[in-house]
Amino acid sequence: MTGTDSLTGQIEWKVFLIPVPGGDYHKLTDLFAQTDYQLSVLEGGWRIIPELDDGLILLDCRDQEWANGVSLAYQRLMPLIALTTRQQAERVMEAGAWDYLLVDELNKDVLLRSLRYVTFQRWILAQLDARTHDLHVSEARFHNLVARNGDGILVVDHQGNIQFTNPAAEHLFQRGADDLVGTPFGFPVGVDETSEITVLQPSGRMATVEMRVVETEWDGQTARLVTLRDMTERNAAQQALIEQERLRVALEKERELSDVKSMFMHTVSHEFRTPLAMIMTASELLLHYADRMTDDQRQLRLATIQAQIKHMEAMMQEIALVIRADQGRLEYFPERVDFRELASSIVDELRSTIGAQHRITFHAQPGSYQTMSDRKLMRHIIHNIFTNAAKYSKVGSAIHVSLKRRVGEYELSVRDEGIGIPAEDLGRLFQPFYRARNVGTVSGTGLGLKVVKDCVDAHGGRISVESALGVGTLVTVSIPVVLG
Amino acid sequence: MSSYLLKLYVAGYSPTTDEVIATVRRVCEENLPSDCELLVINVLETPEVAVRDKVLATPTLIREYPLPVRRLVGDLTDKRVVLKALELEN
Repeated sequence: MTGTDSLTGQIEWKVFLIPVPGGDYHKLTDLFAQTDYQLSVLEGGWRIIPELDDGLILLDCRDQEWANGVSLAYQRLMPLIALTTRQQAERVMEAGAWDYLLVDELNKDVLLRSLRYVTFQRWILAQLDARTHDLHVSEARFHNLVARNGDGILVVDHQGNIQFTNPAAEHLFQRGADDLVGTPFGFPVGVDETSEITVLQPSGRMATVEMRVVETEWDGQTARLVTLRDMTERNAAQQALIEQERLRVALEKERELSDVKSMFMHTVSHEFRTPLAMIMTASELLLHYADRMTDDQRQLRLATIQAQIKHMEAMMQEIALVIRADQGRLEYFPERVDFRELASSIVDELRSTIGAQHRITFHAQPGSYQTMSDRKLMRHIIHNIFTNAAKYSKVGSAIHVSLKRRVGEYELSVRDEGIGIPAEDLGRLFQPFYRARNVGTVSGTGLGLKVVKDCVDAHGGRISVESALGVGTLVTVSIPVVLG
Repeated sequence: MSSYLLKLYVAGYSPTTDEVIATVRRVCEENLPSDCELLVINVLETPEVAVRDKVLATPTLIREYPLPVRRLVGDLTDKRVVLKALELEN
């Protein structure tokens, strides 16, 4: 063995002997020569101890000032073996020596045991030191994590008193840790949940805070770890975003409205031109040639004028309705109705007018059809859907109207065998003045389905349109059952 | 003097606040003696009361008596949670 201790792994400890003047150390030196320890003799007494940075001190305590040396080494955690007498041994140990050797009873075994023992102690101390250091580093690291965390962190005991706070929490409460620790926060309810609380700051300002609570342990007691995140600014930012979005929607609406206005002008100029021209022609004929006409011929011209005025009036009404609905001012006056009676009476009227040249069927699933509905708006709905079915299908083809009871709603559907609507146009049917590309010469305002949609919306209902070109169109309206 | 005194601190009135008040009121009516007293304190109106009672955040519910004083903070809209925190139910 070359002085490496298998347990401590320590290589060749140097041993420094601090002798007394005139002391005889022949025996000691001989014994050391038989070990792997190196002995050096230092002159200058105990005062030399602070100059030693490593190694093991062997202090001859037969010196009068031995106690100074022992306590100095003890304070510096330096391993010290006292060379002493049996009478003095106890005092030497009490003063802080790690071990002692009796001057008169020195032998190799005792010496080696003592050296090993002290070396081992020194090693343990070094280990402890290193681990404490590691612990400090790791604690500092965690402390840093908590201290630098942007979220406020509190530990609250089971009585609701604050036990710990980090700088972010201090900032949030606008109070120092001294002020916070020990004061009641309140027992945070809702473990593993997030809730919103308002933090009251001494300045009178209030912060909206997201609070998360988890169960933890503090000083051996169950406690709650509270994380607080200031949402005030984020909420403000969110508010700003919402505001911005609202503005954007308003602008969009404004733009759409002006689109509607120009479409309106376009349609009015176009759609009103025809009836106006017919009125003009009929009235001019009457003006210039009334005396040459038969009564029947005069009546025919007057009837034309009347019909065209009615047509224009109906168109004006629809435009007014759409504009009101767009402005959110569509009046909705629901009353208790039997939906089947209402629908069948409207269909009956249409049978003899617009639908006179079609085969009309009306079928209703048996049962009650009580609900609240605005008769006037319902008339618009059925009238317009039916008119479309009749206008865009061949004379003699069928129009099927049916009523079904669904869960919480009544379903009205109108199916025709007409020209159908191109798939590309299906998505835009409810835009005002929009007409499918295959309408050809069939006259219309492009308002019908928009009116239907507005009236269905007023009822809180839904509308869907399915169509296949050349096969027909199915319009389904669902009206909620409302029992007033 | 009533046998139960609860003080509820809220910051202004909002749908959540209304829910908290309703929950605590229900606890009073359904789970506490009939002479239970509930004070609702709006810290916006009387901030000095919040300062005096050292209320750090709202909603806070303080059971002044019976002793010991209990103080709860957080989401008080769940009656079961409030009951449990007041140790009225397990």
